[in-house]
Order: sequence, then structure tokens, then C-alpha cells
Amino acid sequence: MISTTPPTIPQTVLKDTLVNDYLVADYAVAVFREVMRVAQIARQGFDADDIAAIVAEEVLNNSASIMARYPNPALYARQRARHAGISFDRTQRAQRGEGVRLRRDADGALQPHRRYLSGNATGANSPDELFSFAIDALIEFEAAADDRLLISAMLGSQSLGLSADELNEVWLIDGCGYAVQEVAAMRRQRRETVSRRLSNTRQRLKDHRQ
Amino acid sequence: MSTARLKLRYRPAADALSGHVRFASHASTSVIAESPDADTKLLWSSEHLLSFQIVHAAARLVDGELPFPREVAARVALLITSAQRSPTEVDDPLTRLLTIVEANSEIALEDLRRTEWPSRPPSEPVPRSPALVANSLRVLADAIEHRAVGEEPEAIHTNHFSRLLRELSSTIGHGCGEVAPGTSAAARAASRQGVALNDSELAVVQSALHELDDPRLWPHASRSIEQLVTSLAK
Repeated sequence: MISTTPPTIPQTVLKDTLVNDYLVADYAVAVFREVMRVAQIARQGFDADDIAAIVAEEVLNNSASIMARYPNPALYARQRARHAGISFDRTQRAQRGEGVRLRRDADGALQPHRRYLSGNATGANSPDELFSFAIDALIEFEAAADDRLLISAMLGSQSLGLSADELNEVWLIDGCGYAVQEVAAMRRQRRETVSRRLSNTRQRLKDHRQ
Repeated sequence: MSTARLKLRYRPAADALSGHVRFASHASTSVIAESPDADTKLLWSSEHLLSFQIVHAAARLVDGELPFPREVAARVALLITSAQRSPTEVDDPLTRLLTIVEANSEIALEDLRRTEWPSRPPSEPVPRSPALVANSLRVLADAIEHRAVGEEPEAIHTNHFSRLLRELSSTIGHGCGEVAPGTSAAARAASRQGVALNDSELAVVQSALHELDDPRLWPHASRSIEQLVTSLAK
């Protein structure tokens, strides 16, 4: 039988900070490799090392508590690998569902992509380019103010009373290809909050089109 | 000549390598997954290599050939060598761990085809006793780690070596007892860095580590290790 007694780390070694740092890094790397071994058994993708990196990063961020509870890195890695794989898949699915645009690389692999639209692009049935109303810097102030009011009124009527934040979110996510997670970070809000608001905005736009 | 895109991704800190092949027009009907050992996973699409993942790639490269078609192995060797020669030194362990070196290139379909190498895994499993080997390795790791160590670099190298022995023990003892040639190669490399063993002890360890790559030699390797542990305890 294989003994389950965890290997002990000699205290004389732990006293030395440099050696201790080295042990932590060595432990994290051992976790990385074991997660990769476990993940590559269950998965057929190209992502076992991504999952391993997530778990190893957790180890480096909480090394003291993890190393105390799991002196054997392989045991910790096996405990975490399955759930880390599930979380990884969930994140990937959520990001795709929430609007991360993917593009094909030259080699055909899908990568997140920022899709920038032309500034004066409009919908298919729009009569004029929206930004043709943009203010010329040389025109008179009053005329410029009138133009600005007109543009605001047009945007207001077309945006169904959506707030500036809601419009901005739809623009960033559906227009520019930002992930919900990234927009949430900009707003300093939780991803779920932005995601919920985005779904609501999209539904309102959809209802209006019908 | 038909070609495909080969994408290689190497993580130097963990010595972990992944590769993925993207075919321009290749309607794959079946994917064959192969795990020739605990450190390697290969996916074949009919007779072409589709993707692979391997741990301790550099250590294994030093020891011999990687289990890929020759042209792929040559490109992997180039990538790993370039990554190791990179002059950039990173102090932060997290940054070091997350560092990725990538290479994308065109490769002829013919160079992805399996010919005589890598050989297919044997259909008949070799009888093996993973628990015995794993236990011997763990005891050896404990014995080496508890040996009195003097200078600091030797302490670090000895700890690293004993951790790799434990990794090897754990890998062999886990599951159905596959060989782990990558981990054993890494342990052999670590033993050459200057650990708390004399020359004759080192020779025994290195010989035993070589034998662990062949399950038929496991009983002999276990006996050698146990004898060494006994002598270390004296």
C-alpha cells in the first residue's frame, strides 16, 4: 500500500526565506503539472495548461494555507482539477454568451476580438449617416448648439429611453466586442449586475424591433 | 503540397508543452486519443497528429526524442531551446509561471503523419507493481531530504530533487501505474545539479530512474532504491 503520510518540510529549511520562496514556487509548479496531467486525461482540447495555470495561480496567492492543508501538491491538484475544469468551461461559455466576439486567427484558432465599427455606420434602413450631423468646428456657436440638441433628441428617440450607461454598455459589448467582465471592471460593478442589465437592454431593443 | 498550421505553446516555468494542428480543409471523422505514458497525451486525427500535451518536455528532450513525428519534434526542440536561451530574467514567481512562449508555423501534412515513430502503445499491458515502486521512491525522497545539508544551493537542489522524486512516486502510484519518462528525466537532470549524495549513491539513483521508464525493470529498480535507502540510513 502507498503510505498516505504527507511528506514533511524540514523546519530548518523553512526558516530561510529564500529557500521558502523557492519551495512555494516549486510547489506551485508541481501543482501545475499534476493538474495538467489530470486535465489532459479528461479533456481533448488545447486548454489543459490554461486550467493548470488558474490553479497554480491560486496556489501562489494562498500558498501558506494551501501548503499547510495539502503538503503533497499532487493531492491538492487532483482535488482542484475537476472543479477548475468546470469553472473554466463555465467562464468560457459565459464570455461567449455575453458577447465576446471571436475571430479566426491565421491558423484558424478562435481568439477574442475587438470589433470596431465605422463611426458613421447606421442601420440598413436609416436615411442618413448619423454622424453627418457632427458639428463642424468652424460653424457658429448657436448653430452648433442647435445641432447638438437635434442629435440628442434623435438619439433619445431612437434609444427608447435607455440611459447613457445602458447605451454605452450595449455599444461596448455588442458594438466593440468587449466582454461583460471587462465592462463590469470599468464600471466597478459585479459581472452579474452588468450581465443582467445588458440582457434587459437587449430585450427592450428586441421588443421595439418587433 | 497540402499544409496545416502548427501552433506550439510552451510554459518554461512548468516545463509544459502543448501543440495544436489546424487543418485548412480536413473533415475529421474520428479522433484517437493516446496516452503512451503519464506525462504525455497525443490526439490523432486518422493518421495525422491533431494535438498534444506533454509535461517535463525540456527534460525529456535532453534525454532523447520526444514522441512526435520528426519534423514536429524538431520545431518543438527549437522553441524550447529558444525559450531557455532567452535572456529575460523574471523575479516574480507568478509572472514566471504564467509566461508562455508560442510559435505558429506552416507544416506539410506529410510531416504530421505517423510512420514508424512514435510507435503505437503495446496492445498487451506489461504486469507492473506501481504501489511498490511509488513507496520506494517516496521513502527515498524522505531519506534524501532529511540528510544533513550544508550550503544553501545544495539545500535548494536537494529539496527540488526530492520533490521531483515525490512527483514521480505520485505519478506512478496514481491510477493504473503508467511510466512517467518526463518526470524521471527531470529527476535525473535535478540529481546532476549537486544534491546531498555521493558519486556512487548518485549512480545508483540515476540507474534506478532509468529503469523506471520500463515497467519490466520496476522490481529491480525498487530493490536498488530500497538498498540505497538502507545505506543512507546508516
